[in-house]
Amino acid sequence: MRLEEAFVLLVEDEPLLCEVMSAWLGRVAGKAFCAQNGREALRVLKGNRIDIVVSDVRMPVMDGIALLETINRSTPGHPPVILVTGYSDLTLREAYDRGAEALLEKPIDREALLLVMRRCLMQPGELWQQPRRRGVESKLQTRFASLASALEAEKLAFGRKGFCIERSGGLREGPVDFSMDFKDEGRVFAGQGEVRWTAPEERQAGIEIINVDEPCRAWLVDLLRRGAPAACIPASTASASGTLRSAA
Amino acid sequence: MIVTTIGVVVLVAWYVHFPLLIQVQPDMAPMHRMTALSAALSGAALIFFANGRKRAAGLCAGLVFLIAALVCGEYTMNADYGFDRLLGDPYITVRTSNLGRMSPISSLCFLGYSLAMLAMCSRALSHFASAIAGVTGSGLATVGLVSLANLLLHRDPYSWGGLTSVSIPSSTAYALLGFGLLAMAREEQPATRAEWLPVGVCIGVGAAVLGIWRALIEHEESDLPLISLVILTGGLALALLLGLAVYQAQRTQRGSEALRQSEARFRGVFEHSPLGLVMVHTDYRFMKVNESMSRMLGYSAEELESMSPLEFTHPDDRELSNRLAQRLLRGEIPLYQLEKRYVKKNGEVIWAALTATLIRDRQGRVLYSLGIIEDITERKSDQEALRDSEERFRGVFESSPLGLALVRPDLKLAKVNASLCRLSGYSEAELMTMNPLDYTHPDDREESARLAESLFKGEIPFYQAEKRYVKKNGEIMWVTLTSTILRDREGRPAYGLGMIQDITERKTQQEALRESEERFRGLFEQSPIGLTLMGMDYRIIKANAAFCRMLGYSEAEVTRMTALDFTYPEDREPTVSLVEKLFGQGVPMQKLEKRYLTKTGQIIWGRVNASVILDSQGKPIYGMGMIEDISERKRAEEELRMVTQRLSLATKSASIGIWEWELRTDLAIWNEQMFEIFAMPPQGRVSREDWAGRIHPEDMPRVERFLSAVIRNQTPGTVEFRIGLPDGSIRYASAYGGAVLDEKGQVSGVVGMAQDITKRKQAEQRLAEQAELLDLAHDAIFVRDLEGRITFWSRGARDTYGWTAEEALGHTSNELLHTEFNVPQEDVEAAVRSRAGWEGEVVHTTRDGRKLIMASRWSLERDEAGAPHAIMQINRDITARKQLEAQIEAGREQMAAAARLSALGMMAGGVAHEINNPLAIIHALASELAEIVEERGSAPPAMVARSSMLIRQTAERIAAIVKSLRKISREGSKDRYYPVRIAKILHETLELSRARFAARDVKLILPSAIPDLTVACREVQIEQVVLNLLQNAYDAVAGQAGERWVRVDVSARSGNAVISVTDSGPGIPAELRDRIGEPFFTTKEVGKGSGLGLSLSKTIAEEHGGNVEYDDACGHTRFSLTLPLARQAEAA
Repeated sequence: MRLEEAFVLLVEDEPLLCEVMSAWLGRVAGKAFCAQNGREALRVLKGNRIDIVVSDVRMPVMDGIALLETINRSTPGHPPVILVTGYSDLTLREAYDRGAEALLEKPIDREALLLVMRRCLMQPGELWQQPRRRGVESKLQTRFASLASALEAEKLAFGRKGFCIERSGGLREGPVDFSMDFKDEGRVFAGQGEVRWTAPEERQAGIEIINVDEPCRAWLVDLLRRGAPAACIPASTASASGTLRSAA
Repeated sequence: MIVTTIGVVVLVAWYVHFPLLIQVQPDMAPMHRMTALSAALSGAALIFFANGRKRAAGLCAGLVFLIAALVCGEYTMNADYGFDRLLGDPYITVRTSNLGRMSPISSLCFLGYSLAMLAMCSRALSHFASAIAGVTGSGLATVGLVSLANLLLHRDPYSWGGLTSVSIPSSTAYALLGFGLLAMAREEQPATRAEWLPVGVCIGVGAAVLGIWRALIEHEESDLPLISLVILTGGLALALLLGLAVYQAQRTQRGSEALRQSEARFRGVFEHSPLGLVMVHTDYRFMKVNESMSRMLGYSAEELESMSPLEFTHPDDRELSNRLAQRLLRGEIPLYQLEKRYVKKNGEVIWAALTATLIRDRQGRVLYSLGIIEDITERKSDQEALRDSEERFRGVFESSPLGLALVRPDLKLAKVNASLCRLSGYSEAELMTMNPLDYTHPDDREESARLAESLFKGEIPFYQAEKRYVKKNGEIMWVTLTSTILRDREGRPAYGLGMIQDITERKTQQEALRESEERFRGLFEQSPIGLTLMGMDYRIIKANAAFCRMLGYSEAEVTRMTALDFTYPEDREPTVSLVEKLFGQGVPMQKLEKRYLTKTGQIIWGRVNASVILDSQGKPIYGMGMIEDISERKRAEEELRMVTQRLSLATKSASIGIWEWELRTDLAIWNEQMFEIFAMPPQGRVSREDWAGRIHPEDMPRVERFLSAVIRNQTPGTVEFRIGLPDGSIRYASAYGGAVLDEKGQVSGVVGMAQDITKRKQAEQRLAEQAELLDLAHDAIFVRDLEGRITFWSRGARDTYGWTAEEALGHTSNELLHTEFNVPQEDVEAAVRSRAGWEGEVVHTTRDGRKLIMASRWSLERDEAGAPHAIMQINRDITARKQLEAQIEAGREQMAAAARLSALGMMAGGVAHEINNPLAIIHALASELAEIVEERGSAPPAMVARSSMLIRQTAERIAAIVKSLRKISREGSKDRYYPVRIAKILHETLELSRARFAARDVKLILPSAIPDLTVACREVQIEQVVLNLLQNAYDAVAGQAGERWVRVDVSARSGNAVISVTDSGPGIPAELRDRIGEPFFTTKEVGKGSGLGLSLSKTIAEEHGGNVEYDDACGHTRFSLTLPLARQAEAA
C-alpha cells in the first residue's frame, strides 16, 4: 500500500499540535484521523479502517503504551503503531518489544516519520528487498547448529521486523551486515540490518532487518508468518515466542 | 640366565614349530636342539656356580661335556651315533650337514666351556681354574662375538667345509657364556695378576682372526689364497704380539704395585707409630716428623719441619746431642742411643729416649737419618720420686717425736729411731737384738703377737692398740701403737712399721677425770635452771636442757653459736663487759639481767649468774652461766612504767580532761578540764550519778560497756558519747581509759582522759553530708580555694575528668583541666567575687586529653566569718549536645539542599514533557509554514499570522516554565522578605505541576477565584513549600485506582492566609500522624521521597511565623500552610 492511500490515526492530547500535525498528515497520507487520548483512539479504530496509528505516549485517560497494548491484544490484523514521546517514558527496546513499529522523539522529524510510515505499509517480502547500503563496517557473523537449537538455547529470538541476538559486544547502533550460518540446515541467513539497541551487560542486541539476501527471504517471510511473533524486535533472546520455536 | 632362556626358548620353539626363534632369519642356520639343550645346561651351570652351588654346576657342565664330546667324536670319526635326533627330528635344515647335529664350532665351544666349568668346580684343579676359565672364556667370547657379527652381516665365519653352521642364538649364547667365564676368572684373580690374561688375549685375537679370515675366504670365494694366507699369518702373529704386550704390561704393573704397597706400609708405620719418628736431613734439619712426635713436643708438624732438632733440645743436653748427631751424620757411628730432655712448646721439659740411625740408598749414599724418640718422662720422674721419698722417709723416721720401729716379718726389729730408744730406755743396739714382744707387758703379749701376725698375713692393713710396754728400768708404760705394713715392689710384706706414743700420763689422769665428769654432767643436765658452759671466745661449749628449752634451740644448735648470738642487740655490750670482768679481771661471780632472743625471735628476760671455771693453773678456761627466765616479771614492770608515763603525759596537757575512777568507792577524781567538758562546776569527788546524768541516755549503755570492757580485759579503750548541756544543746566527747591494777594485780580502778570533740564531729558530719550530696550529682563538682587549689573533688568530677580525688586534690584546677574561657578569666573571677557567682561555658581537658565543653556554674563559698575562702564549680558536660547541635545545623542545610534537588529531580520529568510539548507545537507550526511555502511558493497571510501568533504564545509558555524552574531551584533562604500575592505564588507553582497532574490523569481542582491576599515572605521558599505539598498530594494519589484529584483552597483566617492542599486519598492513619513532619519520615516507597519535604516545609513556614499542619477533620488528606498576612502598608 502506498502512503498516499493509507488512513492514518494521530493520537495527541495537545490540541494545537494535533491540529497542525493532522493537517500535514492529511496532505501526505490518504486520510488523517485525530484523537485526544487512547480511549478516543480505540473508538476511532473501531469505526474506521486505519492503516497506521501515530500516538503520543503521555496522555490523560489512556496513554500511548496502554493504547498500543490494547490494539495488539484486541484488534485482529491490527495496524502498525508508531509511538511519539516528549520524554524517555520508555526505551526503544521496550517499545519494539511491545510491538511498536518505531519510537520517535518530539519534536517530530517529518522526514523520519514519513520513512517509518512508508516502511510500515510494506509487506515483509517487499520490505526486505530494499537496496543494501554499501560500505557498512559493522559485521555480525555467527554460526548455529540449526535455527531451532539457536532459539532453544536462547541465542536468538525473532520479532516481526527484526531479531534479538546474544552478542558479547562489538555492535554499535547503526547499520550492520549480518550473516547467520545454520549448519545443519545448510542455510546461510544473510542480509543487512540496523542495530536499534544494545545491552552489552546483558549481551543482547536488537537488530531491525533492512534487507535479506534472496535465497532465504522467502524462508524468513514464511517463518515469521507461521511463528507470528508479537514483538517487533524482542527485548531479549529469552522472549522468543513458542509458536516461532515450533515453526522453526 | 639369558643363555638358559635362549636354550629353553629354542627348545620350545622346536616343538611348537616356530622357526623365527630358531633361525632368526630364514636363510640362517637353525639352532639345533642339542645346541639349545647344551646352551640351557651351560647357562644353568653358570647360574649355579654364581650362587655357589658348585656340585650342581659341575653336573650341568659334565652333561654339556658329554654332549660336546660326542658331537666332536661324530665329526672326527665321521660317524653318526644317532643321538643327534634324540630330542626329535629337525625340520629346518638350512646350512646343516648332519640333521640335528650342532655345528662343529659349537661342539668345540661347548667342549671348552664344559672343561673350564668343570675345572672351576673341581677342587683338584682349582689352582688352574681361573687360568683355564679365563683362556676359554676369551676364546668363547670372541668366537661368539665374531660369529654373531658376521652372521648379522650374512657371513658364515666358522663353517668348515659343508658342515653345519653356527646359528645366531648359538653365537649369542657363546658370547654370553664367554663373558660369564671371564667374569668368573676375574673374580678368582684380578686382571693385573692373572697369568692367563696374555694367553687369553692371544687365543681371543687368534680366534677372531680365524673367524674373519674364514669369512673373507668365503666371501672372496677363495680366489686369492696368497692374500688370505698373508692375512691369516699376519693376524695370528698379531695375536701373539698382543699376548706378549699384555704380559709385559702386567709385569711392570705388578712391580710398581709392590713398590707402592711397601711405601704405603712405611708411611702408615711412620705416621701411626706411637713412638716419635723423625727424618733428619744431612744438614741436621727436619725432613719429616710423625704425629706422635709433634704431639709429644706440642708443636705442629709444619712447625717442627721448619726447625732443627737442637732448637727444642734442653740446653743442658744440646752439646752432647749435637756431638753425637754430627758423628752419626759423618758416618763415624752407625747409630746412637741417648736419653735426653726436650723442651715442649709450652716450656715443659720432657725426657726422651732417642735412637738415631742413618738411612742410605742402594749405592750407600746417606739419604737421611731416622730418629726414634720415646717419651720416658714418666719413667724418669718415677725414679726421681722414689729417690725423694726414700730420703724424706729417712728424715722423718729419724726425727719423729714418736717412737718408730721397722719390724721384719720374723718380728726382728730392723730399725728403730731415737724416740723409741728414749721411750723404752734401751739403746738402739740393744733394741736391734730384740723382738717387740720382748718389751711388751706380759699381759698384752698374746694380743700383740696375734695382731702382728694378722698384719703380716695381710688380714688387716693396719692396727692401733693401746698396750703396755715394760721399760728397761722395769717401769710400765702405756703406749698407743699404730702399726702398718710396708711392702716391696712385688707387694710382699717387707716390714711392719710401728709408731709408738707414750700415753702413760693420760691414762692415769683419765680415770680420775671420768668419775668427776660423770657427776658434773648429771648435775648439769638435771638442773631446772639454764646452765651453760662458755669458752673464752664466747662459744657455747655446753648448754643444758633447761637453757635449750628457754631459747628454743637444740643443744646442737646452741653449741654452734656464741653467747652473743642469742643476746638481744642492746644487751650485747653489758654481756661483753661481764665476760671481760669474769675472764680478764678474775671476778669470780657476776650477775646481769639481760634479754635473750629465742629461736622464734621473741625477747625473753633472763637473770644471769656467771662464774668462772679455772684450770689447774688457776687460769680461767670456761665461764659458767646460770640463767633464770624473768620475762614475766620484766613485762609487768614495763607495763607499769608505760601507764605511769601516759598518765604524766596526759596531765601535762591542759586541754584534756583527766579522770580517775576508783572501783571500790565508785568515785572519780577529775581535773578542771573534765568539769568544763561536762559543763559542771568543779567539785571534789564526782559520783557516778553526777556524770551519768550528763551523758546522753542513748550513749550511756555504750559508756558502760566501755568501762566494763576496760576492767575485764585490762586493756585501754576509747569511747565517744554525747553530753547534754543545760541549754539543751549537745556536746560530743571522747574518752580514753585504762585499768589501774593494785599490788595483787587486781583492777582497782580506771584512769583516763576525755576531750570535747563537738567541733570535729560537726565538721565531719557537715562534710560527709555535703560530700554525699555532691557525690550524688552526675555533674563534675569541685571546690577550689582562692588560689585555685582543689580541696574537694566529687565522684562526678572523677567520672568526668578521669582523676581520682586523691590525684586531683591540691592541684590548681585551671592547670589540671587546662580551663579555656570564652571570656577573659579575670572577668569570671571578678564576677564570682562581686556577684558571688558566675555561669558560662568553659572548655576542660580530661585526663585522657579529650576536650569537653562544660556548662559551668561558679559560686563563692564563705567561711563563718563571711570571708570568701573557696569557689565551688559545678560543671556539666554539654560537649555531646553542642556537637549534636552543630551536626544538626550542618546536616539540616545539606539535607534541605538535597531534598530540594530531589524534589526538582522528580519534577524534571514533568517539566521536560511540559516544555517538550510546546516545543513540538512550535516545531510543527514552523514545519507546516515552511512546507506550505515550499509547495505553493507562498503561504496565505491569514495562516502566517495565525501560525506566528501561536508560535509566540507557545514560546511564552515555555519561557514561563523556565522562569519558574529557575526560581524554584534557588535556595532562597537568604532572600529578603517581600510582600507577595498568594495568587502569584499559586500561579507559578501550578505552572510547574499542571502537566504532571494531567499526565497521570490526576484532576487538579483550583478555586474559581483566588482571594486577593498578600503575605510578606521569601517568595521562592513559599513556592517550594506549596510545590512540596502539591507533590506529596500527587504522589499520594497517583497510584490510586478510581477518581484521583487534588484540590487547592485559599482562605483568610484571623490575620493569616491559609493555603490548603487536599487530595482524594483516605487520609493519614492516626498512628502515623504524630510522626509526620519528622525529618526522614516518609510513607513513600524507597527511592521516591527523602522524608525531608514536609519537615523542611514546616521549618520554612515557622521561619515565616506560620506553620504547616495536617488537618484531620476532613475525610481526605489535607495539609494547610498558614502564613501571617502582610500588613496593609507592606502589601502596598
